[in-house]
Amino acid sequence: MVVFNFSARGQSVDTTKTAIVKSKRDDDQITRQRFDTKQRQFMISGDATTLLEINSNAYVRNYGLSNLSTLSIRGSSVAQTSVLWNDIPIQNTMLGLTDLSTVPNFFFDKMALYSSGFNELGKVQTVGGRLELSNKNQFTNQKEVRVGTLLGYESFDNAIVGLKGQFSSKKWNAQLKYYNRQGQNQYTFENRYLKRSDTIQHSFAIQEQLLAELAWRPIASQQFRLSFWKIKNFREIAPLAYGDNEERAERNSISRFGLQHRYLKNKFCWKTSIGLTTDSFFYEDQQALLQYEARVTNLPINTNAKYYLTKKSELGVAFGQQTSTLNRVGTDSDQSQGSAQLYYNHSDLWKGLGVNTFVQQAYTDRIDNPFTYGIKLAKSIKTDHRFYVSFNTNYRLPTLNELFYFPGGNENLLPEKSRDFELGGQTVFTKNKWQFKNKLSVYSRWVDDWIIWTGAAIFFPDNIAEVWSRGFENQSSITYKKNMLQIRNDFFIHLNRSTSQRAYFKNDNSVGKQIPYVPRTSWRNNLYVAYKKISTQINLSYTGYRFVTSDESKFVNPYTLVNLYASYKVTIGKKWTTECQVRANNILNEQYESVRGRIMPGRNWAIALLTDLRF
Amino acid sequence: MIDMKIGKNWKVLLCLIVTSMTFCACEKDLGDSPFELPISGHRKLIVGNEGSFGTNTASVSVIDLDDNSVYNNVYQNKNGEPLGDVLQSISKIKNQFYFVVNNSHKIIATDTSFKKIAELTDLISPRYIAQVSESRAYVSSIYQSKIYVVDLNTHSKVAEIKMQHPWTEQLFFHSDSVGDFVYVCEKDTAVNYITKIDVSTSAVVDKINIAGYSPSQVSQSSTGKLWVLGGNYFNKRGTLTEINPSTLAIERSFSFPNRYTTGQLKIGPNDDMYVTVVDYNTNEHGVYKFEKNATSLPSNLFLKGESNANYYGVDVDPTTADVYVSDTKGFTQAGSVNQYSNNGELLKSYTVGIGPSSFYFAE
Repeated sequence: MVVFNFSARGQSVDTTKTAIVKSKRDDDQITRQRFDTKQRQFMISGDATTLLEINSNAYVRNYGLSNLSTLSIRGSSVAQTSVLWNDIPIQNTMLGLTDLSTVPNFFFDKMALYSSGFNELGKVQTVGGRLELSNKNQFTNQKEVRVGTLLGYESFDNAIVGLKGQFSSKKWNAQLKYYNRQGQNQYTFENRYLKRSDTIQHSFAIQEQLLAELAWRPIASQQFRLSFWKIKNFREIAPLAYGDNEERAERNSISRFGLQHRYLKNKFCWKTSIGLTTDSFFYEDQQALLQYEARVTNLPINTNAKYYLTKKSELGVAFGQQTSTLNRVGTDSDQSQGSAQLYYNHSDLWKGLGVNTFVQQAYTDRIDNPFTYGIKLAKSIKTDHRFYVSFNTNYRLPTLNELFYFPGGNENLLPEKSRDFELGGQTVFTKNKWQFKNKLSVYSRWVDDWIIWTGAAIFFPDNIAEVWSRGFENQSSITYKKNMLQIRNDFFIHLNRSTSQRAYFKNDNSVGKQIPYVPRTSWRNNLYVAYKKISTQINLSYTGYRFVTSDESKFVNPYTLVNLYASYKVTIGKKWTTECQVRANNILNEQYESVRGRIMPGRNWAIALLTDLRF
Repeated sequence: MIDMKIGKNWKVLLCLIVTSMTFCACEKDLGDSPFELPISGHRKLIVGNEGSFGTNTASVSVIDLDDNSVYNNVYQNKNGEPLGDVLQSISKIKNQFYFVVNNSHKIIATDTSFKKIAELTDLISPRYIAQVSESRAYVSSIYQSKIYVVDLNTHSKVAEIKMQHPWTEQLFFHSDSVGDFVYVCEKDTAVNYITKIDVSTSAVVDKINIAGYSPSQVSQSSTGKLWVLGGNYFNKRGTLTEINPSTLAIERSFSFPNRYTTGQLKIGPNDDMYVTVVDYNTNEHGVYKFEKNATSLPSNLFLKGESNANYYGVDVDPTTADVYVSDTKGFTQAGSVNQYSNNGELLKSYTVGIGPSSFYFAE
């Protein structure tokens, strides 16, 4: 396996003067889901929330339109999943989450979901999976300029504007992107709690973002990239369906910087990424006369050096260091963590059997320094069918809130620790114009010292839970292509049981019960049909019961959604492309809640106009 | 790519997909089932369950003290609607129950069978209600620098009394030869007094010093003395103060250990006092018992929570002197109420709603 650019690992051949190395398909792609152009096409004006809700087995907890949304993979908690931007972790280390509603799909060429917590390369220290975001920094032999625009409107009285420009040459690639989404987020709904029709109140939101990347390749063996991502976000928080007289709002200002370097010469490859994120958070409740302000700074550094022992094997070391600081009125708190990993990969150790292994030692300024390890074995059968089995351990350090929140923070918290076992495979069948692909994973993850907030007058976190997550994920895709006609159907299904395994109260009724807000069953089906300039998509999705309490005594109802999308794309002179999209969402007008008390929009629509011009 | 004979394989796969979808559609219905509440003639303990904050899961449970039966979701089953978000306290005034639902910004009045009579709105984050006259009651509020005055006949707010600090907690009505007064706890770390309001004028007339700071609970013993519980997390040490309402002097006071936080105060029929506490050195919950004539802090806890118990509410049976303590279990699941003898022996445990915190003994 060989890496030839910052963010992709895959099949390619480098013919530079310094090295000629062949590569093979890596096994990450079985547990990795890369969102392709079809899956992203109708999501381009929105954010990662909708992309993941419709096109993956992950569960997105959505707190309302233009409101906070968080990611859970295979029953993990929010803090156990990670989001990486250009290999830099961007989780807010105070809260332990990344708000997916602030990740515009318009900004990123590449978005990939990793369901497994297999921590090869030491990229991220977390128990669950991760979402990776990046852009292609393409270098072109001829100078090329490309600009694009996005104009969108949603029936909630929301408007979206996006602009992007790119310059590329043999040694440079520069990108600048802007995104603005704002509106009243207005809709009416049937309030089942108060038994009346209601209109969402106090729900205005505005989000303004800027993304800039500059990549420089002075010689073939060296590449640098400088990135900047700025987010300014203000949102009024609509009252809960059963809560009147609420006037809450929050404001974020996030700045993210990244510097990356890659060096590849002969059999040696070295990659380094340095990030800096500052997140200023302000929350106010005008009814309760409460204000809360905090500023979190995170400095992650990761360096990875590998040596290609043979054409099929490599040995590498990875070092990571992250320092996080929390500033609140009157207090400063910080946490440092680091890791050193040794890894070895061989794509054909014995009769086509591939192996990935790693051992890692963490070091922290807390009281526990986890040692983790992993091994993955994979075997191909007739090239198009590949199967794997893996086992690994992992950990998650407490967030700054869990450690230092006043009152109640617990500085003696231990890291959560996991043991993951997984097996699965990918099969591909092709006949004439048909192709069938299927990815299947069966997993079992046991987490010890799971952190739970508990208490009465004051809440405090403690390592008192054990959770066993196990389940079955499947993605299948059937494609038919003939001339200008393309038909494709994607089907996702996820069956999960994530249950508390340890009683931490006397007469604890949560043992053996599903942990809150993890659906036991979900599936999605997307049918794409494209003919010449017209594309259409029908999306059906089902999300099952989600319990609100740990003893399954209260729940949020399951729901089924149906969405219809259509687009018309025109290309003028091979350089100018214009696309008009229309989306009809929730056409069955299902009244549903993603989170208890947050009744989501019924039937609604959106339009978008995109242009792309190359010089 | 290798050509494969698709043939039957496609049909098998299609069947699997359809079967999966069918399986997914067959999740069981998880609705509640109704129940009857045989309360007539039995002594009852009404338990107020706060619910989990922000989820609208507050509820009322009733424990039949004569046959030890428990009835949950009493209000919702009687009225066909949820109670609201965060049930803070229960009072009985003029043969009506008043359920103060803090985060739903309302007070619900019911008859003694829990049938809803009225809903008092136009209140922000109410906490406790105390009757001050035949037709009036005062309501304390969190985050608001005011006491609400409500009319018990029209069930509506009629006035507001401006307070100095934004958080008013428990309040207690006291009548003597001088007049009718309400003593109010203003829960603020800068406050080392309880506030005295003259009911006839609805004006603040005095501030009575306590031993510590941040008063939250006030009650009265059978001897007419006021007892005030104070303290706020780690900022101000927990204290229990006895005040003579005639002289306004502190007659006794107790200071809790460092890094203890105090919760609720209840006075039993024998004038024993019970205080729930949390020891933040060990994150352990417990209950202190002060004998009637105590002169110092007890050397040991009367009740010590085991297995991560989250003791929150406490009350004493006025007839049997049994002590009832609620365990919220972190507000993540159904809580429990433990019944102890006056010697601290565990007699019974009842499973109630989420976050039990308040009690009312009813005939």
